[in-house]
This record gives sequence, C-alpha cells and structure tokens, in this order.
Amino acid sequence: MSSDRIALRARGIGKQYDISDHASAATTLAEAMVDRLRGRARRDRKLLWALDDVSFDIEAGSAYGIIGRNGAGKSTLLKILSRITRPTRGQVEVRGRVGSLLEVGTGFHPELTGRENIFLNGAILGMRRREIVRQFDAIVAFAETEAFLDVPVKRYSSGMYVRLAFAVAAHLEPDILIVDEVLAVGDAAFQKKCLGKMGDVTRQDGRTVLLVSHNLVAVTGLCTRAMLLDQGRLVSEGSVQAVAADYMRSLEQHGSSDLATRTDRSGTGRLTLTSVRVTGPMPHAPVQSGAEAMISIGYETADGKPARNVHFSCGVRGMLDERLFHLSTSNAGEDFAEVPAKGVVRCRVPRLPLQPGRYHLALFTMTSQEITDYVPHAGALDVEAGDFFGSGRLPPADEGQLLVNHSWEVDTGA
Amino acid sequence: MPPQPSTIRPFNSRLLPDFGELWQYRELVWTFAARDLRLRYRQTVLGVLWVVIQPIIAAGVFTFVFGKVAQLDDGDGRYFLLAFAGYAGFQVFQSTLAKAGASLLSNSHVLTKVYFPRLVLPLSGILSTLVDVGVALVVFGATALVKGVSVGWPVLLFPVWVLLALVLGLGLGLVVAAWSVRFRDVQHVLPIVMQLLVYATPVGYATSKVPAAFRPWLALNPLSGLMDGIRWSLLGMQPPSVGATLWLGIASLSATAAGLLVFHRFEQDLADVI
Repeated sequence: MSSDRIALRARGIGKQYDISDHASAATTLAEAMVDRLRGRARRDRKLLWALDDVSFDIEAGSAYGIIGRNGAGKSTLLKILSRITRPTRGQVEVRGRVGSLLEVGTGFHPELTGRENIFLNGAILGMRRREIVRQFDAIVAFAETEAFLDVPVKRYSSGMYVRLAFAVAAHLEPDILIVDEVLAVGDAAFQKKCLGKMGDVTRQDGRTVLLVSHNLVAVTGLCTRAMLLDQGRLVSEGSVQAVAADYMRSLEQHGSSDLATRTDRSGTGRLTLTSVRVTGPMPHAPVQSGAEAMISIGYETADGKPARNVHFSCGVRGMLDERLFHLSTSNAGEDFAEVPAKGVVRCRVPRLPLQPGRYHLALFTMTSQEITDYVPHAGALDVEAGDFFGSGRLPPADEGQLLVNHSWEVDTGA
Repeated sequence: MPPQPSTIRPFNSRLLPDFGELWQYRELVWTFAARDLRLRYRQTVLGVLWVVIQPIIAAGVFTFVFGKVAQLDDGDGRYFLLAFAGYAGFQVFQSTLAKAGASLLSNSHVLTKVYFPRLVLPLSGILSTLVDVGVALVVFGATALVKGVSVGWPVLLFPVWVLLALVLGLGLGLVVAAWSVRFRDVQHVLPIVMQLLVYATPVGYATSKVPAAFRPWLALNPLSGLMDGIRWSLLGMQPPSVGATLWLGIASLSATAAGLLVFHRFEQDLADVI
C-alpha cells in the first residue's frame, strides 16, 4: 500500500485514564487547594490504560470494523480518532476530513422543530450550511417525516426522532466517517437502509468508513477488514471474517472464565459452580435469536463425593438486571437424583427467544433444601441477530427483549 | 484536491487556540447562536418583549433606590436614563461573561460526542448579548426623544464601549468556562461576585456622586470607566478620564489574553474531565 492510499495511520497510541474514586480525587476547589498546600498534587491515583500501544493502517475507501467486548477500548479509540480526546502516547496521521457519529442526534433540541434540528445537528456534525441546504430534501425523504417538519421534535414518536437523526447522519459527506454503536437503535428495516447507505458511501464515493458494533452481522456485512480490541490492546487485525472468528473465540473463553475463584457469591459452598458458557448448537457456533442455545455449567463438590438431590437453575437477566426468564431443573422435570463429584450439566434451549444483545446469567444451585451456591452475575450472554420467526425479520429493538412465537389470521366470520 | 494530512498528537505546542480552524467553523458559531436565540423565548407568552421589559424594570429599580431613596436624583428628569444606560452597559459585560462561562457545562453532552473548536461555544453567546444591547439602545433612543435629551457626536463611540465590555466579559467568561468544568464551585461563586459587582460599579449612580474618599477605590474597577464612557456617549455627561479609559482597554485585552490561554490549556482534556 502506498502511503497516499492510507486514510488513517496510527502508531503506538495509548490513552490513560485516572479512575481514582471520588473520595481520593480533588473535585472541588477546596480539595485541590488543600492538596496543593500539603504538597501532594497526586494522591493515590488509580490509572488505567484504556488503550495501550495500538498501531494500524486503514486504507482510504475501505469499510473497516472495530470489534471487542464492552470496555475493550473501542469508544476510546473512536474518541481519539475524532479528536474529542487526545491520546496519552503515540500519534495518528489523518488524511481527509473526519466526521464522527458516536451517537444519533447529537445536539438535537426537543424544543426545536424537525427543520431547525436538521440544520443544528448537521452543523454540529460538521456539515456546511450550503451542504445541508443541498441535501435537505434527501434528508427529509430518507427520514420519512415530511409532515412533521415544522413540529418541535419533543412531539415526535421515538421512532420518528431516531429516523430523523439517522437521516442527517447518513447524509454526512466527510472523507472518513466514524460510526459507533449507533445502529443499536432504530428498527431493523431502517437499520438495513442505513447500512446500505454506508455501503454506497464507500463503494461509490470512495470514502472511508470505520464502524464499531457488537452486531457481527452488520460488521461482516459492511466491512472488509477489521481489528479486535481486548482490554485496550489490539489482539487481532485482518480480514473481517478472521477477526470475527477470533472475537467469538475470545467471548467463549471469557464466558467460561474462572467462575470458581469469584467471591461475589453466597451459599454453603458444599457444591460450587465453577464455570458457565453459552454456545450455539455446536461448540463454536454463535448464539443467535431463534437458534438452539446450550448453557453448560461446570460444578464441583467440596468433599469430592457425588451429591444427591441436586437442583440447578439459571436466571436470564437483561442489561438492567431485569428478570427475563428462568430455567431450572425442577420446572423442566426433576432435580438430579445424583451427580458426580465434578462435572458439567447442560441446559438446552431449543429456540432462544431473545433479541440480539447482551444478557446476564444468574446461577443457583441447591442440594436437598440447602442453598450451596448462588452467583448473581455469573456470566454474560451475547446474542446475535438470527431468524427466530423464519421471516428474516426481528421486532424493533425498543419493543422489548423477548421473542414469542405467534401467527395471525383474518377473522372472516360475521 | 488531495486531502491535507493532519496529525493527532498527545501534546500540542500551541499556547493559544487555532484561529484558522475556528474561522472554518464560523458557521457553527452562528448556528449555536441562532439556536440559543430561538430557544430563549419559545413557549413564553410575551416572547421578545422580555428583552425590553427586563432592562426597564432593572433601571426602574435603580432609579427608585438610588435616585429617590438615596436622593441622588438632581431632578432633571434624566435619572432613569442614567440608570438605564448604566444597566445596559453592565449587562453587555455580565451577560457575555455568564453565557461564555456556562457554555461548556451546558453543552457537555455535545462536547463528549463531537469535535469542533471548543471556542465556538463561548463565542456563540455574543449574538444574544448584541441583540439585547441593540433593543436596549432603541428603547433608550425612544425614551431620550420623549424626554428631549439630545445626543452629540460622542454617540458614535458607543460601539467602542460595547466592544470593550464584550471583550472584557468574554475574556473572564473563558476563564470561568474552563474552571467550572473542573471545579463546579465556580458556578456558585459567580452569581455572588456579580451581585457585589453590580453595586461596586456605578451602574445605578453616577461616578460624580461618589464621595471623593472612595474615588480611588472605584477607579480600580475597570467597569467604572465603561459606565462613564457610555453615559458620555449616550447622555453627553462628563467624559471618562484618559486613565480610566486606558485602564478599561488594558483590562479588556489582558482578560482576553488570559482567557484564551487558560481556555486552551483546559480544552484539550475537556472531554475527559467534564
């Protein structure tokens, strides 16, 4: 690759954050003055490298994905590339105008009308006024909100609001477009339209798109290359398929991480839970809406002897810890009469009724009325988009997390 | 035209903000200013009338307190205009400072999501101040006409006084904006300081009425020169002394320089702290 084909060239970038709790950081003037007087400008500070020695080249005109778990450093990287914050180390060479979309509808004001917000949001995102004027009709048509142009957006439905905000963003024309997890909102059809628009941007206009998403389907569909970040480090870089596969492997490893050594648990400990992992029907298959899911729970008895009358259960909870549904040995049939001293029990869910997203698992086990172990946040469950209904469609993301099989018919009787 | 390469680095050697970049974002200054103007009186019954009502009431209160109760009124029927001119001038300074000072915190949500030169926000507050002073000037003109006050050539210098008040307010506002991001205390201190300042400045009274013993103290306040200057331009009163005028100019320029330095030092880490 010759250097003028490179849109972004990052070398050794790192970002350090001070994550000291409020008790030890000076947040009021008085505290800062006391610190200064006592000659301790720095107290016990906890520092975290949110990004550590990350280097990469991104070719101009390509669509590039950034993948990683929550807290991997994806958002920090985007903030550095879009100049919202500066790196602690390293540097990035940027060729071209950068437009960043870290959120849908940045600067939208509820009291302003749709028309006014198009101009405000467009300007904040870096569009010139004449660009907005030129694109205005296209934006309005894309958003499908013509009738509400002169109504304050506080009167909009949430769907209309998101569509309008997306529409402005979709008509940004920077040389390099940086997009964060914004596709998580909006309904599936509209998301598809936006992805299509971004694809056009790279293919036809030769612009560079950087996309961060948990939605591997979206990333693999749009991008050709990608990087995988894990705890601030770049652990894999290359074709999007290879990086996506690496990501899935890292998720499984994390999912089966040392549950045994966790301390956030209660129970007598006579039988403890040592691991949990969720996979698709095959050991390396992704967990998808509507596909079979297998929850494997490892356990161990304290005395090294088999245990009798063992109950296992797994609560599936949402991002806000809301209880979604409960899987237990007693409800599905009978508790286990006897289990070996150490082993794995599996729970099979034939068609996973969950929208794409992240969920948490709460694990519980009991032997003969004795609570032996309870871990409320035992593991995470990342569900990818899948074909639950057989129609290829999923409900809007804001319509709840559970999927229920159903059918419709016209009542022709009088 | 091939895009110009630019580099993102941990440190930049500039002491001051990049004004060339700011110029490229001039439309955004206007957009934010227009947003604030639109929002100011939306869903109010009286709407833009508030721009007229506020200074009239304030000047009325000053006329009553200082003119009637403290009996500073000479009875030439101009006391209201004196207070009105003083209040309008002080407002240019005070509202520029307050708007610039609050501009970062009140837009913190946008600041962590999008990059643009941060100076855009404090600068965008100036437009509403200018609208206010424009309206105040019309009200003043109408009242002066009714009262039969004639103005001479010094009125041409009125924009200069407005500019000095703006620059002084903006410079201090930049310091307040930067500091209040780090220390929210600043937000609570500012209203107290302003309340003291409105009495420590000859807003509701003329400089000439101040007992001679206090004059040197009053001269320390650069806004005293501003008050004299505005009343000279609008009411044909005693012109400000050369010293007071110079002091006002020096104070305005140094406040701006200090404001830009402090603001630029803070703006680079803004998104991490706010």
